[in-house]
Amino acid sequence: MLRCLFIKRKLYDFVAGELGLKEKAALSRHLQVCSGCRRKAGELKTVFSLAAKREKLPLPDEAFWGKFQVELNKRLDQETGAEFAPEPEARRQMRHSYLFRPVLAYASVLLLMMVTVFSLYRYYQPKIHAYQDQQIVEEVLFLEELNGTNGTTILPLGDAYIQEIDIISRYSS
Amino acid sequence: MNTEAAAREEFVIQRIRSGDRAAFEELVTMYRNRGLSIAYNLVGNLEDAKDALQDAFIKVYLYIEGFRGQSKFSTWFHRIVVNASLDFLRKKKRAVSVLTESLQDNIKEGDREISDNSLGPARIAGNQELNRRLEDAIAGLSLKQRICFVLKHQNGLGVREIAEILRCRRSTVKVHLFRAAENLRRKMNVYLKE
Repeated sequence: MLRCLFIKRKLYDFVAGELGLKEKAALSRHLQVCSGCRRKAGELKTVFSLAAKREKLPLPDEAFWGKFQVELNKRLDQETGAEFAPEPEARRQMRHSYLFRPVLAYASVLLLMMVTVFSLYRYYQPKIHAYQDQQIVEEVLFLEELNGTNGTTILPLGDAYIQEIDIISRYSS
Repeated sequence: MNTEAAAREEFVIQRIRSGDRAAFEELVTMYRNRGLSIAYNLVGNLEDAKDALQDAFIKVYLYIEGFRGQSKFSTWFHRIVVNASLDFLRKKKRAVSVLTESLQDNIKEGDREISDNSLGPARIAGNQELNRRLEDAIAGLSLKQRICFVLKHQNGLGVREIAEILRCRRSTVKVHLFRAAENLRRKMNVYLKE
């Protein structure tokens, strides 16, 4: 019985063909005389045979692997954070648009700033205002001189205004 | 694998390390068949095996830096496929249901055997039925016994490689194989009586 217990531990290696010659011969001798161990060995052999002959996975065709590769690439792009690679032409156009987009934005901002600065400069230019003021004063003084007033008399509107125009046109001609 | 193939594999791995996707596709072509076979034997159907294999290849691409060449690339790859398959089963919560169902089936079969002693090979219609019984019996094994048995007897890997894949001793793998075989023999002997 003890012998059978020892043999039982070796039966797997025996059936799997992983025993040395000496052990294999000893075990074969035991199996010739022990029907219980022989039956177990037979059952193991059948199990292994069934496992080996079990319906194998049919080798998938190229269409299967093509689809597999496409799906794998998509999943890999998602995992690595890269966008799914578009066609080269589309990718080039995309790269150009990404390149020019900030340039256009910077140019617009620069133009807006230039217009603003120029407007402010024009509006707040003191020399221009002084020159304009001086011109107005000179014109008023000239008109008063023509009118014989000293700058305190306010010309009435109507006939006086027409008279003033006549005088100017007479002197200028 | 001959020297030329090994050199080619090494070259491809180096190119993948530098981010070459074309080299990665070449590696996929090299290992897809054996990867699919292992995944199929562990998860049980082609569609799930395909998903598990894609998970495995993504891990290969992302963690190729982790392969230092201390073991063969095939061993490293097989380990990733096994882990990806088990992760896939865990994610889909199929591992538990498959094992539970198969255990319930086995208990039912056991009950039927006690009540109906005439159940034998004559009642089972051919090899297909036997294969189904074997599949159920394999699914009823513990996880490690199942992995060892599948890799050894259905994928033809050696004990040494299985030990490297599972990161355990060869003697441990042999114990798992012995127990798996003994459990299968006990579960199947009802149908194997001549």
